[in-house]
Amino acid sequence: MMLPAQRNTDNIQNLSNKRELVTRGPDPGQKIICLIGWLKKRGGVRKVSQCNEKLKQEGINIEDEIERIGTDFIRIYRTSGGEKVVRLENMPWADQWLLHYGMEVPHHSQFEKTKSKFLETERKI
Amino acid sequence: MIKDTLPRLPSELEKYIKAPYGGLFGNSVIVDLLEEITADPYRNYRPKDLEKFINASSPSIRKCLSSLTAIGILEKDTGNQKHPLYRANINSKRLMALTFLSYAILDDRDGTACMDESIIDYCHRYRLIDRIMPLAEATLQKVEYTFVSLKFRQNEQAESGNQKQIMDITSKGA
Repeated sequence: MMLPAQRNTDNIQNLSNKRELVTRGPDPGQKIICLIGWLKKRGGVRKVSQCNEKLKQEGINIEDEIERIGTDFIRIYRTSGGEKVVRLENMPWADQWLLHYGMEVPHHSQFEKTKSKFLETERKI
Repeated sequence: MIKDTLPRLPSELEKYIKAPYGGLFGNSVIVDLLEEITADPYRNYRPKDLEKFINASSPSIRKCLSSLTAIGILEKDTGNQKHPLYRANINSKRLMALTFLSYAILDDRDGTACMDESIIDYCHRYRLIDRIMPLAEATLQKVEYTFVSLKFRQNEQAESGNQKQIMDITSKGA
């Protein structure tokens, strides 16, 4: 028979190893995941113009991307001042894809990956 | 005239566009800059781009960039003296704490668990779990040991109580 202590330490081990992330919903893709991470950390709401400014280097438009992903996850609203803003609708969806792409917390490995990409685009500009 | 089909943004969310961190630290250029850098820590920042993006004057952006560099949240790339580049210092714990703060603001507002998820991810990514594991196991074993010995003592007490009751009954019967 397994001792209770043994059983619980096994549970801790299982928890620590449980990083096989389950991803549900549409994949935002490598190009837009940076924007989703940024949007999430900036309160989940930002102006469309700022989002497009961020995506300029990628050569994509936020409105096209929202159409592709679906309005259940990310959507355009209008403020009382008449400005178009993007709102992240589904935080758990964003969370799981950010974890999947390793963008949830700042890390050197991700920095190295993006550094070369940005340097490349900067050279083009 | 084409009818606007876009839904109206709930008014309580508008403050998150107007002020960084939902107005927690007021609305100054340095806080806005800090939130921007925390939100996108992998980018190289040029003062000119930030002026446009944050909508602040050139001297105030330069002043904020200098103070954030002096306190170690930003690193200055002086490769090009005329057009310096700034990037986030990924090693800064304050940058990490501000990342958690960004998520905490969402959690308080929407009742989500973004900060918890990011802390778990942080523990795995920075191998903190390896440091926590032995402590967690030792604590659990200690708790289990206390629990088992308490249970054993309770059983013993119950048994001695039963024996006493039996003895009382038999002595009354005699």
